[in-house]
Amino acid sequence: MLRLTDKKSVRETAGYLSGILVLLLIWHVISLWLDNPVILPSPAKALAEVVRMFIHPGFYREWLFTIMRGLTGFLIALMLASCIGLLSATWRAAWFLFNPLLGAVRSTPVISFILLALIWFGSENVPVFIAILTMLPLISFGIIDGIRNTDRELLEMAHSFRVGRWNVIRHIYIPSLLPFLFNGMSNAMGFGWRAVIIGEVLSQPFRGIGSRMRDAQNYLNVSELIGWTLVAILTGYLFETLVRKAEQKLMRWKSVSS
Amino acid sequence: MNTLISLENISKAFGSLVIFKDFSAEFPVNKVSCILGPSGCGKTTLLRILNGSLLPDEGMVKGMDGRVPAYVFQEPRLLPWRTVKENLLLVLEGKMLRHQAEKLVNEYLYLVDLTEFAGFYPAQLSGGMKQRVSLARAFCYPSDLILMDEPFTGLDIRLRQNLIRSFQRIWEIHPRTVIFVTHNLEEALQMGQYLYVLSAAPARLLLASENIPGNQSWLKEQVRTLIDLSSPDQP
Repeated sequence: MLRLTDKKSVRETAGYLSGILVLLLIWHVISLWLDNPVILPSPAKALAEVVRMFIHPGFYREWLFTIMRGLTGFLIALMLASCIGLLSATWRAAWFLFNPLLGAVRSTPVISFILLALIWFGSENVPVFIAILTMLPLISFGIIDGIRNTDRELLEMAHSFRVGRWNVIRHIYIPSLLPFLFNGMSNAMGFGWRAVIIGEVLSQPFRGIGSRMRDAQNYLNVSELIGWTLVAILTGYLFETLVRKAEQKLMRWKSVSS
Repeated sequence: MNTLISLENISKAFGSLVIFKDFSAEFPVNKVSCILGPSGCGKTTLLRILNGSLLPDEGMVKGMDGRVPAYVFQEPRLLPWRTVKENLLLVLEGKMLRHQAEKLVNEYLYLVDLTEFAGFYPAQLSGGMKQRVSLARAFCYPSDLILMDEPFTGLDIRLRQNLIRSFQRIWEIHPRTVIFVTHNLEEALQMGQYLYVLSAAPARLLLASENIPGNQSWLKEQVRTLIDLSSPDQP
């Protein structure tokens, strides 16, 4: 059984790798055809640029700033979403207040927030603000759905055995909302990084991936721009994977089977 | 100490649906009482009134003396993210010291033959095993009253017999007041020391009798003439 899944995962990895390889090949052919490294450098050159960036110590400083912004936004969004989720699930008035508000925030184009934030805040704070606004509805709706989907029969059981309020929250509500929360969080991670970087590009704080992308664009340095883009993709992927790994670890009971 | 738990002149209606009207019954302490009736006659409502989770519109429950009954539901109702042992410990938490709870849980898991499965998650158990965990949870709960709401419904005959044996084995070692609700006559005769037959709603007590081996065939005959269990939806 184990060997079979191993084989399957090997085949899957091979599939992904060959897909990436084909895309790189197409990129290479187009760059050869254009024959203009300013407009489109070859994948080898872009990769060399990434490697060059990675060995430059200044790079990590820029990267760290973006990561810190994303994580700060994420943590603040998570805290706010927990309060909003708890209030909305337990108090109807709060639900009627927050539901349209979060719905509107979710549907607003990121650029509107950025333009407003540029007027309201200094440029250093814009990306974090954008990150919070992007992630907040995703995480909040996750928590609200989770609480609403809690099994009523289990709650009735706990009530008839007089299980304490704190234990009901800890052992029934929280485990049932975890899958919903994690779904919201991994969505938030996916959208959040993009929002942070767009925020950086437009508000140009002193350090950050977005600020360097803007610089590269100003100097028509396409290979560096692509290099930063690859870093941005990697960042998003890294944190989404982290969230998913944490989920698997917390929900080991789901993976057991008879 | 009361020797009876009694319902006195209970009335309960949900909107225009009258479930009980001036209903009275008495259940002896430390015996297994089986309530038999067609489905929809208010058996679950009766248990919920005894449990205190539902208040009657009129009348009162006597002899409970503030005790909290343990409950065996129709479904096992186990937390899927906690092991068998952790599921039992959850209902004991705050009611006794941790090591006492552990000891009690181990004892009852042994009585339902699930010692080796203490560390398993509910998803790893069969339906019958899950219901045995639910049985152990009710018996290890510090209460001398256990309410059972058709806990063997949906299981095949062999599993049902298995569970009834598990039940009898625990009960003989640790007798409690058990009020057991069912619409299965064989089950009621096998389990109950006292038998109560309810009519369709609004429920009336059609028969209350001790169940002793000598009068079983008489009881069977009586029940068959009193209610029609084969087509429970008909009034």
